Amino acid sequence: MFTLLQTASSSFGYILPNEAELQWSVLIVLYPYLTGLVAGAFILASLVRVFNAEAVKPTYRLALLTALAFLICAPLPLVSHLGHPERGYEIMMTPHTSSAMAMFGYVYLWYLLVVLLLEVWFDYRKDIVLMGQRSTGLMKVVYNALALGLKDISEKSLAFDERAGRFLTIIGIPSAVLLHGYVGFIFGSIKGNPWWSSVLMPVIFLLSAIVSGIAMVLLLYVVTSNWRKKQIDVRCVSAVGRYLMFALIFDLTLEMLDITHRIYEAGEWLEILKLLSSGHLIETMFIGQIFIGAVVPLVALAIMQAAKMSDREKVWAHSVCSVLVLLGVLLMRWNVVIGGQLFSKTLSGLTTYRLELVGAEGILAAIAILALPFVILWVLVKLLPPWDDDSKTRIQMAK
Amino acid sequence: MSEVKRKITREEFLWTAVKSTALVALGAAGYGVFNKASTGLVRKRDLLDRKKTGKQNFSMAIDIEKCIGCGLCVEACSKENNVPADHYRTWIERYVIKKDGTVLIESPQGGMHGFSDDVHEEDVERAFFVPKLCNQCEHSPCTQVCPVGATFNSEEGVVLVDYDYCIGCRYCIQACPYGSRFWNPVKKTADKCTLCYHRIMNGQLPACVEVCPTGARIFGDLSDPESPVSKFTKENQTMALKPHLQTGAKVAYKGLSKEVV
Amino acid sequence: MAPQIPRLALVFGILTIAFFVVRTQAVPKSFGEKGFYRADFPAELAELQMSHAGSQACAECHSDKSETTAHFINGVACESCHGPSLKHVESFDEFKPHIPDKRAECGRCHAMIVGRRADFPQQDMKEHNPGQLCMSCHVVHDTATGGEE
Repeated sequence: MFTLLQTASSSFGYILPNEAELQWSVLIVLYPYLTGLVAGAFILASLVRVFNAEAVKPTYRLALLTALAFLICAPLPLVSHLGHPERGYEIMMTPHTSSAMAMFGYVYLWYLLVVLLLEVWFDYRKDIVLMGQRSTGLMKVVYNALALGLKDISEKSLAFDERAGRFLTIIGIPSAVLLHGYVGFIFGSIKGNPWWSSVLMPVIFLLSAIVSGIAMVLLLYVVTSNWRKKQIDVRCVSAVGRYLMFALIFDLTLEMLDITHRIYEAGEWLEILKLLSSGHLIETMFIGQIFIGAVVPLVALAIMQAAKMSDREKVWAHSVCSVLVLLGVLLMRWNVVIGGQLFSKTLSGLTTYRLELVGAEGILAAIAILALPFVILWVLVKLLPPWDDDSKTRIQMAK
Repeated sequence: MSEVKRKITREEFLWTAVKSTALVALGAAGYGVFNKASTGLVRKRDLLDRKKTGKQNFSMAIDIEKCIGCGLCVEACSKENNVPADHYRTWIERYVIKKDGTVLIESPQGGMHGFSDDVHEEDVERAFFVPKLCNQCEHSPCTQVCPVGATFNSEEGVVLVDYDYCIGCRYCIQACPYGSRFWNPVKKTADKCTLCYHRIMNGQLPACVEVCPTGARIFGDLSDPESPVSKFTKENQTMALKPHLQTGAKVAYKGLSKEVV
Repeated sequence: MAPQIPRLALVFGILTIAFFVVRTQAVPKSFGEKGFYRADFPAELAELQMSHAGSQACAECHSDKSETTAHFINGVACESCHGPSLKHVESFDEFKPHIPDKRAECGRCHAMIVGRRADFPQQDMKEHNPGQLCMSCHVVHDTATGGEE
């Protein structure tokens, strides 16, 4: 195995002596990607609960479990990146209230414990109790523990579950906005970095998060249905695709607004940023993030609204669009995090980022972190089946 | 039909009592915790007013015209503070403005071993050296973004990093507009110029000021009107780097030219 | 009341209490006393070992040099050329400061390079007696001019 060493020189112009190496690596690209998927998946699920979007219902529980799986993995890239991960708890002990990053500890805990775990609990409680009754041995203990020892599934308690779940979904939406929005604020509030400093940063982060979450749930629904050899509800896929399209329109509009605004304002940073985006970032930004990741799927989805396609074609097309969108959003995180460090604070020089293959912050580690949520999702799906069409478990959705 | 008022059973009463006690206890605990955590925050505002505390306000001033780019300061700092190779608590930049208008900026190894003489004199319109270091900002963006309170403005006006508390998230390094902070690969924390805190608190000068042969670096206590740095900033026209960012940068430069980045 | 509420309250109550208990141990004792930081730290930092002694320390023993050396009189510290020498002050015999003996070391300040003002004493090192030790003509530690013999 080999590592590509970072040279301590600029690729162009003058960079400050301390800027030779990038501070935030690919791991920091992954963190907003993961929490973005959480926020996006949750907001899609909330469309069912709060806005009674019937067509999307088949994806409801899957979206919740997806959000949970990704949320569980979200701290991993952060903790791996820390110089002293063993001191990571300090963010919970002495959170500095002037730092957006300090929010992480409590916002994450709030979202995990109060919003997601409770919501999953309320939604699944009846099924957990039933599964506990049906199983034996270790699994029985597991399900009873998951039910927190409660066995009551009377009409009254189920009605409470429903009300509580709805309440949690409602507070879950601003919580999801906070969970991912603060990450955008972390970048947007740095006045010393003109690529990051922008009022639109939290909004763009959030919108691309929603886009990625919707795409991920859509893709997972198609993939898991194929795996289980179950009928895909094409009406559902089309509905989710429509939400994806609208979210993409919002996202793309704001990203274009950001770019246009910067070019128009033409601050002292314009020359170096033009150089950056037409050089280092041309593949990842214009070709990848914007064209392949947003414009192409948007146009495809728009055409699909009117075009006559067979069910099979529709599902395929939606799946491909989802993959492109997911790639595009990952590239957006890359362009913001890495892109913002590729030019010097002197605005007179550019540097390069050499991504290692191995090591705690290398490509392999990144792939492992991206793969882990799917492993956890697999476990969750086995433990708490989100399907309502499986005769084996005979689980009905709790509504 | 009228409702019949049920008598409160013993279980219900006990449960309510337990719940209420728990709530009150939690509330009290929460208040206590909040109080402890916020004492630092509240008092901090008083502490920034050094007239009240009577503590010093250390700072440095740079006379650009005097710097000869020998780099002895960078070397002395590196030795005094065990700064890891390829990282710099202070550094020197050379600006060469050519007759055709191009500006060449360089800082080979931070200027630690001086500069080369391979630029043709004939092409040069103007050239000068600019020493840079942490500007010890009064409203530093770096201390603002630290998530755990590991970096802070000390009572004496020096921005410090607590190496035993820093978690190594590197947010402060990103936030510093001047590139003064760096990642210390040995300590695995952020690091930066401390104005040689361990020296100045024991009556010595910072190492860079000590070895500067031309007096380009002027040090002292801004709250003492007789100190070298106070006199220098009073008697000369000085300005800070990137003043539009309003970081409250204390390091005052005399002779700053428009090419300085 | 629905049975979920007391059960959840119990779970969250236990977690909250556990959190506060952990906090009493985990937060450093001096944190917050002077500001949002560990108040003990500045004093810890002030204890660090120095390596430069400062010119006054040299003058205490080597006053013959400090009173006559033009460099010193003009504000150049001894350690500018001789390097960090606190160890020498603490224990004279065990550590001797570096003694410059190469052209490049004088050239550090006195080589003619772009950026140095013309009124600063400098020479083009390639033209001025190349290969010769500066000290063969210049007496560093002597006379008000520190000039040639």
